[in-house]
Amino acid sequence: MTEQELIAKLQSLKQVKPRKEWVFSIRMQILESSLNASKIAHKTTYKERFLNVFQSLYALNLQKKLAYSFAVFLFFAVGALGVMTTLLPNNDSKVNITEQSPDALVAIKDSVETFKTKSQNLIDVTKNNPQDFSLAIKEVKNAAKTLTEAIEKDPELAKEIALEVKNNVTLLSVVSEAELEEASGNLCRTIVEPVIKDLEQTTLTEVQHKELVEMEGIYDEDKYSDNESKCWDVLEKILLINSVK
Amino acid sequence: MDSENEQFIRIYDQYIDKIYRFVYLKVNSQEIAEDITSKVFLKGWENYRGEPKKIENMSAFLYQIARNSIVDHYREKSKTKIVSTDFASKIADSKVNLYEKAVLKEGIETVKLAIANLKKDYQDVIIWHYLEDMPPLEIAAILNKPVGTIRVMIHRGLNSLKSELIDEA
Repeated sequence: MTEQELIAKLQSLKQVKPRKEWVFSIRMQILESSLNASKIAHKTTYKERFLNVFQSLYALNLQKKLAYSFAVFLFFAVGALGVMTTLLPNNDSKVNITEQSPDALVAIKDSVETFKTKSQNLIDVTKNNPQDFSLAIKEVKNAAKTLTEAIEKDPELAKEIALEVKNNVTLLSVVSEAELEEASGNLCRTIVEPVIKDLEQTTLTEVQHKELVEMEGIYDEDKYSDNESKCWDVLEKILLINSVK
Repeated sequence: MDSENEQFIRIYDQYIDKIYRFVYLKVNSQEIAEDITSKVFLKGWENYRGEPKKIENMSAFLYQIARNSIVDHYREKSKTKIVSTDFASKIADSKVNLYEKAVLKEGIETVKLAIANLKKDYQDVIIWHYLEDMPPLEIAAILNKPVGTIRVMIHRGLNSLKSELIDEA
């Protein structure tokens, strides 16, 4: 074997590459961890601002007594407001909204879990029990439909589960089935639209805004086509904009 | 100006294939390679965050974390037995050998196994120089050794690899 042949053989190892879905999941992990860090930094800023207010009070040479009196006043004001909110009539709707949201989130999370379990089952069936394939496909399709309906009821919760669903669909991409693609497309569109609306209402940098407009264009073009793969790509890009904003 | 986060994501996109390949060729398992590579980037991100300017050579930085993580992996694997890290790959490969030899069909598998049988330092320089097209100067920076030494290591590593492949044949 010549040296050239040996080097050529070595170069052939460049074919070794990581799985796409795994690369994506680690990418998202990094983005999520940075998001958490920025939230913590944000909390520190609020804390610092709060301290600054007190420092300013000292700077104004006010007596400590004044600060204590202000604290006592705040305590009573908040207490009185609380009592009034509880005793006032016709405030049932407010209570209902605050009580409903966590329930709706739990319900959607349950639907996501079912969708994930059924998807995993489908992947297992594809590998081990091909005879159960059509049943497993049907189950995933139904789970996707249930999840789509749940999001339609509470579109504002779409962003809470968007990433989880996107990751699951990436795993599911190994199974190619027209019936499943339709349900997957409907699910994607139900998630993308509220996530785009939410992003439109937030402050974005010029670059992020440009990316968002570009994604909206691709999504609008793709909306009525049969191919849903672009929809998931759009969702992925939008989630990235959302994570780094 | 880009945020640190966006900068690191670009670094991730640039190096993910290279680091994964480096780790995979040294541990011979997709699952373990994914586990170690994800640790490399998460650890890299922890260090990068806040002080990106502190890292002068990103390639050296990531490969160094990868090398340490591989050593940690073999150290954990051997648990009670204390060995020099120079022999770490040999220990793991004795198991791999039995399986790999049985399924050897393609040339790519043969080269993979031959690399796994090399001395740890030779493995590194061969992968970096011939697979990742890294010049000896850059390898010297990662291993903190003179360029001349690296050139000798590449030459010797290639000869060892040739011998391994002849033995296998």
